Amino acid sequence: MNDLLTVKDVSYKKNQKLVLQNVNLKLNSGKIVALLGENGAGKTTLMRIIAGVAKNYKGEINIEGATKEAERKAKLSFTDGLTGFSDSTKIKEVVKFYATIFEDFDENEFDELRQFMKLDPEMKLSQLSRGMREKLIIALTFSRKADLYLLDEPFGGIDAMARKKIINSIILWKDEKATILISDHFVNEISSLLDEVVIVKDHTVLEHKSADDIRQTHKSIEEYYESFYADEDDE
Amino acid sequence: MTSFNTLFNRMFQEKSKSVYLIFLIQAFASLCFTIIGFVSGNGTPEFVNGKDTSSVNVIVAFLAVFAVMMLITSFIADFVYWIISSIKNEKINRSQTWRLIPVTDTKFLLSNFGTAFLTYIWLGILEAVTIIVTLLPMLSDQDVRKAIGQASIHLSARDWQTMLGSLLLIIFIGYAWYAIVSLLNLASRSIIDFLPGGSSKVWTFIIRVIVIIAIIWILGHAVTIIFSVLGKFSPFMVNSQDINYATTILQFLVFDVVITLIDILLLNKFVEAKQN
Repeated sequence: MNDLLTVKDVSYKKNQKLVLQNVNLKLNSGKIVALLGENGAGKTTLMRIIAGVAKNYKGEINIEGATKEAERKAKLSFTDGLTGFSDSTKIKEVVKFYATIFEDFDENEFDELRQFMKLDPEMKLSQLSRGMREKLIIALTFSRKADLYLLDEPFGGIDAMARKKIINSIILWKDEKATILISDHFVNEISSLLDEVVIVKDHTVLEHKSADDIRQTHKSIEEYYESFYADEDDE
Repeated sequence: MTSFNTLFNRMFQEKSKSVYLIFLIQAFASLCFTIIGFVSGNGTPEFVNGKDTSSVNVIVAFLAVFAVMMLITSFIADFVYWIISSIKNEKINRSQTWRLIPVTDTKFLLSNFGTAFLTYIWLGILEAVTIIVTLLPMLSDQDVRKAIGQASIHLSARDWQTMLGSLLLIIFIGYAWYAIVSLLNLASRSIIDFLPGGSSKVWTFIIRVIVIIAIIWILGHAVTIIFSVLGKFSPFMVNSQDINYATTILQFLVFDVVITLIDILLLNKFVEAKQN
């Protein structure tokens, strides 16, 4: 297997507060990987560093040989909150922006995903509920033909039924060689998808294991994840 | 990778929305002022050329007054857009949606400044075209044509040179404004993200005030140094009057380049996109 993503000795501070320290991570192509950790553990920061939107970090990021930020951005698709658009922007205008700006954006793919998510292109962003907005973000993210998808807590506002449908379909939306790094609190719901699990704790990557190994030694991936916080709960 | 042209076109489209909105408001305000002027005025409109007066068609006079109102309100509209475009620039600099675009920070910043400046010129063009078009019916009046014919304008080579020099100077000064606003914003954001204590509103305000004072002081000194050094260097002009013009243009060019390089450095190394 080829290394798709290499994170080497990455450390990051903000306001003199340590967020990540000596993070090392290697992901192969074609995998679906969960990035798990409690709130404030640094999952989002790690994704933002990989995506090239967080600055002033130490260490190296490499996505298939691309180390410069602009080159990395071309190879990945990150769930963006669409804050760059005004609330009066229509979905079709957001799609036009993506189609113009990203060479790998597939409008036909988006149209299929949009229908799957039941989104009306004439709707304005202000008319979307939190769940609908998240569905739009997922549809936009997967309409790009990227090597690496970074999904930062993508299902928070989506109702349970729709969430299940989306999670079951994710595997169909990515190319065979593409890798997905997904951070989420709904560990059980995404566990069936996972090839690997990465645990972020104490400002660093504490564990990186294959999902099959975890399933052999633990009841479930959720139980494995919770075991990292068992001592803290006892206290 | 996204090309510079694609990004530039996209940013231009985005910013020109504000241009059209401001232009429409300006045209509507000018129309209202013109109607008020006509309603409150009495008698038939007249064209005055020295001691001669002649009556003018009401519609032609209405359009001419509208053109004058457009000219007057253009100073306010241009100032408003100047401020709006500066704010928009800084929002884009910090927007994750825009910063995820696969281009280098240099291209990103140049496109942001360039489109702000070009849309500003676009607003000026829209205003100028409207004023000219609404003044055109005045040419149907014989007295107006006669008055224009009497006004002889002869531009010498020196006049053209001065006009070109002024135009360049306006471009460099306009660009300097956007570059300085970004410098203030990016520098204060870098410091806020570096210092302990997070980014509370009070803290942010204090830092911004300190940075503004510090940068104005530094820029004052830098401008004095740049201008005194380049003031002695005038390789391509002969006349002493031209020397002053050419060196001033050169000084502003160097100033713009230096500020832009600092902005690029700050954006590239320190200023992150705002988290969603």
